[in-house]
Parts: sequence; structure tokens; C-alpha cells
Amino acid sequence: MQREKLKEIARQAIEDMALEARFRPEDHQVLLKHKDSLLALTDELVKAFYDTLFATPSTRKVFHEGERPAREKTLRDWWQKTVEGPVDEEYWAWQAYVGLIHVKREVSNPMMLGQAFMIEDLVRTHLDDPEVAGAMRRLMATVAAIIAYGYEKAQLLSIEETTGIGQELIKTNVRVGVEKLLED
Amino acid sequence: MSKILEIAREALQQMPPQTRLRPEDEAVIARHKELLLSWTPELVQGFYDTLFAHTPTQSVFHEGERPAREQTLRDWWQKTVEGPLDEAYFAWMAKVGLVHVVRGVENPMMLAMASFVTEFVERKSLEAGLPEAEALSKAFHRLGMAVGAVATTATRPWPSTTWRGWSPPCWNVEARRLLAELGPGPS
Repeated sequence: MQREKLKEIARQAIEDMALEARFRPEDHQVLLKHKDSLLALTDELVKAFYDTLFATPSTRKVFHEGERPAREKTLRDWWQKTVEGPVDEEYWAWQAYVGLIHVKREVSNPMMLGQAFMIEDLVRTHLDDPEVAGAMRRLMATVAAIIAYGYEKAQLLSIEETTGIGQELIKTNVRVGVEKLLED
Repeated sequence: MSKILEIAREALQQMPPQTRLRPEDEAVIARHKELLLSWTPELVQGFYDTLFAHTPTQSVFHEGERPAREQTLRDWWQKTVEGPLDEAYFAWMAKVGLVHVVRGVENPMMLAMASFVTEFVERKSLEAGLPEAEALSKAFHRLGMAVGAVATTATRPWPSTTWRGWSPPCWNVEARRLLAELGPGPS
């Protein structure tokens, strides 16, 4: 049931995206075609990713003392699964789960989007191929959309579960508050 | 400081510095100002054709609203290309995020269109054979992420939670509980 909830979050996020921006099955064929070159980037990608996070006070404080090796392993696994596939419903549900983890660990969407840029940029710098560029753009746009949506859903679910106020009512409440803010 | 400016500043500061928009990105955009502005009709047409071809995004719009929205995008493009891409610009982007909340524009819709604009600039730059095609594409890639960061921060459900004395740490406690319920990740 809970797994279904994650799949539903991912499905909803993907459905909201314009078709042109979504990751497609043929994009994964491109990643598979370049599998060896992409996997050869793993060490550099992992190092650059965490060097960046640890060099920035706002992102460094997300981590516990001594946690880096475990987090590096998570990213390594993510990259390997992304390249090797399958990029299916389970994969996208995993990205929705990351959105929930981000609420727990206080990783904001700006931090996540910055790192999504970093991954795409690093891959494109090493593999100068328009096909790879397009596939990576759509991959990171889709991953970022699901994580951002999962993050928002986790917040709404949290408020709903604690206050007993339904998500639709919370959304209406937010809309009213925002309209007032826009008038100020 | 206005709340909107505060949202923009907070979002940009949370992005690792290596991933933010840099002065050289603004400079490369400025060097291509005339050309970028000449792409306006094609960008606006493609942007709204895409949104109107997709049921979830089409349903955001009222009947007959397209010309007004096209004008908004035209204004955004002009301001983006002409700059300055300063705090006031990003405060405006935070406001766009708030407008998205009111209009029911979900973050995945917005992030998809940020990607659309990045792709558009890259494709046009390559087609035009620009010597600085890569630098210009990367500048818009960074800009798209910064705009996405600001707009998604503005769409957090914070106004209602502020009223009720809630704050992100409370969400965090609840998120922990939800995650405990979910068990290990699908990985």
C-alpha cells in the first residue's frame, strides 16, 4: 500500500510534465549505448557531488559526522541503477522516496536542483554527444520533478496526519494565504 | 525586507555556489541580447503550444487567456535577456512561484518548462552556429535551475503553516514518522 503511494506520487509528477521534457524509453537506450563511458564517470561524479556539498555550509550541515562514505555509496548505487536500468515504475517510486528523505534530512529543493545541475553538467562535459545531452536533460528534469513533488507531498501528508486537516483544505488555505501575500 | 525577496534570497543561498548563476553567465547572455530577443516569437509559440497540447497543463488556463499569458512570457524573456539578473529579478521569480500556487501550477509542470526553455536555447544556439553556443546554453541551464529553486521554494505550503505556528522542523518530525511507516526505500 505504501509502495503504491510512492508510485502514485511519481506517476502524478510525471503526468504533470509536458511530454517534451519527460524521460523516454529511447533516452534509456541512449544511456545503455554509452553505459561503459557513463559508469566510468562514477568516481569523479561521486567525488565532485560530495566535495560540493561538503564545501557549502548550508549543505554540509545536512550530514552527520562520518556519514560521507555511506552517502557516497547511495549516490554510486543511484548512478549505476540509472545507467543500467530498468528505469521503470519502481525506479521512479524510488525518486519519490528521495523527496521524502529530503524532508526528513532538511535537504531543500534549491539544494537538490543545484546538484541536479551539477550531475548533468559533469556528464555533458565529459561526453560531448547531443543524444546523451538530451537524455541527461530529460532524466534530470524528471528526477527533479518527482523529488520536488515528493517533497511537497510529504509536507502536505505530514500536516494532514498531525492536524487532521485534509490536503485539499490545506491547499485552499495556502492559496488564500498566498493571495493575501500577493496583495501586500 | 519583503517576504518575497526573503524567499528568493533564501533559495539562492541554499544552492551550492558552484551551481549558481555566475557573472560570466549574465555576460554571455548580454552579448547575445539581440539574437535572443529575435527568438521571442518562436519561444512563446513553442512554450504555449506545448502547454496547450498537454491536458494537465491546458486545464490551468481559462478560456481565451492565452494572449495575456503569452505577453507575460514575452515580458519575462525580455527582462531575462536584458537583465539585470539581480535580487529584484529573483524576487519576481518568487512571486511567479506564488502565482503558480494560486493558479494550481504544480512544480513538475514548472520544472518541465524550465527544461523546455533550456533545450530551446541550446537547440537555437547550435542551429545558429554560435561560437559561444556552449557557454550560452550553460548560462541558461544555470538560470533555469536558479529560477526553479526560487519558484519551488515559494510554493512550499508555508503560509498556512506559519499561521498555525508550524515550521519546517515540525514537518521534519512528521516526515520521520511517515518514513518509519514506509520502511526501507524501494531501492
